[in-house]
Amino acid sequence: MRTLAEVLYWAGRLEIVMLVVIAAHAIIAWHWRKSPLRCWLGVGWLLFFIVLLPTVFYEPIFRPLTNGVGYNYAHLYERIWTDEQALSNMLSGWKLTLIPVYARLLIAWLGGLIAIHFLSVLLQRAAARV
Amino acid sequence: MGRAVEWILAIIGAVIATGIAGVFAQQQSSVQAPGESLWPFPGIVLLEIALLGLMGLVAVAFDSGDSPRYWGMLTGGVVGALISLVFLGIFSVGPFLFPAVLAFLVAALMADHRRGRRSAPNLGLAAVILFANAVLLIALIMATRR
Repeated sequence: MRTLAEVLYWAGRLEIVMLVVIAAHAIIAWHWRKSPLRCWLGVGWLLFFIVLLPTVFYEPIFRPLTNGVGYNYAHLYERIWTDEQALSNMLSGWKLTLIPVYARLLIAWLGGLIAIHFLSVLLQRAAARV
Repeated sequence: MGRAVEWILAIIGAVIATGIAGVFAQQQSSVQAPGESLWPFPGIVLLEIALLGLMGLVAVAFDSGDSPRYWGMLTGGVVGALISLVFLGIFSVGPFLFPAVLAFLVAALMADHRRGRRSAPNLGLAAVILFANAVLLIALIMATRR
């Protein structure tokens, strides 16, 4: 129980989610390396996403994650592990906060990647016609 | 002209990185309770930011003439490591570091263009360093349990 709660705790940390985003983005950009346009659009989207995170996503992501108590305090271990109901707390935290918050973040990021894919396909088709 | 712009960008990047590390260290130490320390976190991250800024400046400074290509690779590595710090600290120190990332990235691309090198290997190295640095820092955070 405690181990599962610990796994859920770490999986829900913003750093881990960011690491997954970085890794997936790097793999996708590597996959696109044969198309320079798509590859550079991928790099550009990563940089633009970095700008979006602390601006557009500050309120819908950072506020719910920290629950108004500050990022460091919200992540203090003692706050969770002194509670006997660690697993149920983590599960309800995932259901009520983490999934809605990270769904917005990941949908926006994936939306950008899908848009790049279709944009480059359209541009290639347009170039082939010309 | 291009070389001068590279120098300016590298100096801007180094000043931003070291400046932010200094300002955040001062700010963090002023809000900490007595007996608390900056070590290991956020001290390690702030020290890494400052060192990366200086390494980026050194790499751009030595990436001239017929110097070996690893100076260009070092700049790419600095860019990757800084991007990982921007991501991991996206709601704290990250946004302030972003201009330094852009400065070193543009300097690296300009140096590649000037010396007729392909940028792809350096960007690939940046991606590897980015991931490795993020994994290392998260492992340290987990080890210190903060």
